[in-house]
Amino acid sequence: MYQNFTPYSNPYFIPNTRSMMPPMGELELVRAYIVRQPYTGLFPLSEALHKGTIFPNLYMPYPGK
Amino acid sequence: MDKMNENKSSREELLSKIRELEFAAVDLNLYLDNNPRNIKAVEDYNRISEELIKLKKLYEMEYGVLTNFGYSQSRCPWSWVEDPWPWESGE
Amino acid sequence: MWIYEKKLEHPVKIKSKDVKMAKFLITQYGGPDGELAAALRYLNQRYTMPTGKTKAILNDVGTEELAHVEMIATMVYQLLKDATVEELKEAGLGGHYAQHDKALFPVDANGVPFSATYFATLGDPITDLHEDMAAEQKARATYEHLITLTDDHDVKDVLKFLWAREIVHYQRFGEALQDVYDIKDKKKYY
Repeated sequence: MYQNFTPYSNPYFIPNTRSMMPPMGELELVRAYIVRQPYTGLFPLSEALHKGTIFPNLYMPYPGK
Repeated sequence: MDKMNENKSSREELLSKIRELEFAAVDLNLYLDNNPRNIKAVEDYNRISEELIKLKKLYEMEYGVLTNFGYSQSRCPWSWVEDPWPWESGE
Repeated sequence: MWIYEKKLEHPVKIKSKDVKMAKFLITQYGGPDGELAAALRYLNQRYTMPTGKTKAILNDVGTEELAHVEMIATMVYQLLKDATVEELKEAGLGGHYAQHDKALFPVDANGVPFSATYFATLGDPITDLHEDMAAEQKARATYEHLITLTDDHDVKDVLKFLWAREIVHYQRFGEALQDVYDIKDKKKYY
């Protein structure tokens, strides 16, 4: 499968654009926003379990020891 | 004695691969729950699932049932009751 | 319904016993921000979620949390396995031993038993999803505290995995919240 991580950015794979973040001026008051995760590729399987996710864009190296 | 160690490491390797595949499937599953129309994600999930099912079948034929309640077949004696259980082996 | 797979989500292989750490770690089993509270929170909230997608995410994250409950229990089991009664008393687990021997029982780091008051289900999906996002942050912070409390790499590896999962879950609940807002907005204009 994914021997090396190859990121790809293809507009066809980005989820429904209706629910992407609206431009700054259109943000409403009194509600929370979380940016939707774009689907940009997967870690090799052997790395994913160790890192705690298969998504490179959700991976955060642990701060500290 | 060498053969036993050989069998232990090949069983552990197979289970390790199964664990990696299943973890990928879980993480993709959660993504798909929020993004069901992502064709690429579904394709990736299905590819992982196909490999996972294949490896689980291989593992279970050799080393015993991993999922009970009808999900796979057992030899006799009923392998589900065998030790060690996951909290003992750590696997 | 639930099916059990005879395998941990992530391996737990603790080589050296550490009774003191077991006492701290058990908060993620029976404590207010632990995996059991998380599992019960999400699995209870799923019934009244408004869409198939939100029911799915609550169901599935709840199920993964059950797998995490098992991992915490396994860590406690392995950390206590070879401990003597003297070691248990010294680490402040004498009371636990009196009541449970080395059996698992959901309590927090101070021995306070698990309570359903640790989670809430309000029925309002926006409220419930905010509760879920807060829960993931609380779990994340607790894992950071626990990681600082030990030098054992076997334990740290497992805790870092669980820490990473909380971050992913936070993102998932956040996305679900956006969908709930979108549906609410759509309804406003009818």
